[in-house]
Amino acid sequence: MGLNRFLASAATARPRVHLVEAPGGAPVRWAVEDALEALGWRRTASPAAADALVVAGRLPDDLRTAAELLWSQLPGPRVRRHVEDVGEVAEALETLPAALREHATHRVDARDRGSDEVSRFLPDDAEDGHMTPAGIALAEGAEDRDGLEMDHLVHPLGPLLDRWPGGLELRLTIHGDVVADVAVQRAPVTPVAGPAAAWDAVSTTLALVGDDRGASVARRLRRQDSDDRPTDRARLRQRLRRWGRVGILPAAAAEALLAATDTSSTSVPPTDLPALLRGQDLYDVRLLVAAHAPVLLLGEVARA
Amino acid sequence: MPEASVLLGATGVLAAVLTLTWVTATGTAMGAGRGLALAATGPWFETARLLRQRRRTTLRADVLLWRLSGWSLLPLAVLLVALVPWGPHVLVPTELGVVWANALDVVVWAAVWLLGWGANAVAGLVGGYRFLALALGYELPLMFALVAPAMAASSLDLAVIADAQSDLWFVVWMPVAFLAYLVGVLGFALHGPLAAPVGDEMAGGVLAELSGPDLLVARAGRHALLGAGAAVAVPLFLGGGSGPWLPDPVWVAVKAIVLTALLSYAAGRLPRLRVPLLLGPAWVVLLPLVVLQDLVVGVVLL
Repeated sequence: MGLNRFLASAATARPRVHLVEAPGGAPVRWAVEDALEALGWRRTASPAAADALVVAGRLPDDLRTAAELLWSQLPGPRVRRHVEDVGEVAEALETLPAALREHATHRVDARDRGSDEVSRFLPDDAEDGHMTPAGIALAEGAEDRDGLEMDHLVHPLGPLLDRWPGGLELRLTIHGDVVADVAVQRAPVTPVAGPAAAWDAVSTTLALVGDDRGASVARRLRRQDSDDRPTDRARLRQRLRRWGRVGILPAAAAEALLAATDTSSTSVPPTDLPALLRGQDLYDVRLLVAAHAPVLLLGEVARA
Repeated sequence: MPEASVLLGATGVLAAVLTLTWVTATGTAMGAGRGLALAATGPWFETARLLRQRRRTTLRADVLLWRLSGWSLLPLAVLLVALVPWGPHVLVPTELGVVWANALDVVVWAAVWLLGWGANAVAGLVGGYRFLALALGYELPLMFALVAPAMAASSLDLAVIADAQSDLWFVVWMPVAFLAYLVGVLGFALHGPLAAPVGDEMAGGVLAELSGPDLLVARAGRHALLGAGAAVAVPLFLGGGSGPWLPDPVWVAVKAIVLTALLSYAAGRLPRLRVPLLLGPAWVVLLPLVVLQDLVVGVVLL
């Protein structure tokens, strides 16, 4: 028993958290990110590798199904936390290791969830057929931007996604990994304006391109008044300029971040997101959305 | 070779792969800004965590190819290290060591692509196709980089190539080939600037749907491939076991560990290249330079 207990405590000492933001939950997400950094725990980009699902902010009723679907993707042992207020963050995270060690609970969870959890999230008329294996329709062909016949797939991004504005739901039509069309299915809550939101956009974008050191500095600037740290601010802006020049960031993303973090200008023009995303590589979509998060202008929303 | 020494050699190779995997995991974490204590203990906690996590599958996954490819990365790294001569000793002595090393890194193409394909999901498939674009970019410069030391030593045997550097390490007069080789190692190990196929913005790409032991071996395989690539660079460019005071095998180990640490630290520190940049710079800038390097080596040998 001693060895089992030792292994279980090692396995749960540093749980990996899949963190998503509910609409308007940005300040809570910031607090969770800061707490994770202080604990030395890491996030996962995919729910498949996570021990815990943390939803930051208040989840509206129309997103409950999306949250359930996300929850079904955690392999287990799994724990979930809905953190609605900044004050609840510390307790929600600190109790994770112990919750992950409750063997009896996880054994019941594993037995009850069954082997096929995804099917109940498919449309009601989905049937397992020749053209719809497991109820999922095959890709259809369409002309891509060069006029060649390509498979086209409809791929949703959001509404609950890692490093993504809470509640924003895009439906992308993709040819391979090129975005042919974008429909906005659900708009996020109007974001909090101000320097903290701008540094948050910098931190998210840099984390998405794998620049973890830059992202950490941006989080520090988000926490404190950036006027107190002029050197950090100048160096980070220099870094953004460099990444934009060599192409680590798309030019539009680097420009948006530099404009948002510029203290001399007062307002940043909002950006028409769908127009910006058409024709881009799937990789750039995530970066452009993250960089424009403080100034999203979504045009028409397809589903009210 | 007597049986006892084969057993000893195999144990040594496995221990080397394990060590290099741990060095890579620690190095990348430190490059990303984590402290030494967190970074060095991280892999052990993570191993325990993933051993306790359940496996998962996706709708209509191609389970056979998916699992097979994920579990093949680590054995590929072991085979690469088995080719490395530790001074006079080598587990798999062959006159065609360079060709075998190149062949193994091409098998990684199949493994990574199938890992993305097998999950029957968008993130993995996109990651798999990204890897093909990336592989086209790094593989040709890598092949031409392997030509330089083989040409200089007039042999494809890694032991002969290592011995040919007793006066001067090849890295000194083949810096471009060395650089192109390291870029290739980052490419087939999916690390640092060339990690787009496992990028966080695609939920982890080819690794997106993996959990538990399946994720553990795939991730360890990636780290091990970086370490194995660095270990093969020791006989190719860094003089093999040559060095003062210490016995040859120790020098090989020291060089492999130091190169792995430096390379993984750089990989953790550098940002990822975007997909449109994966092919262009490798072919337009690196490939001509490597060919020029081969030409220089050829002229010097005349």
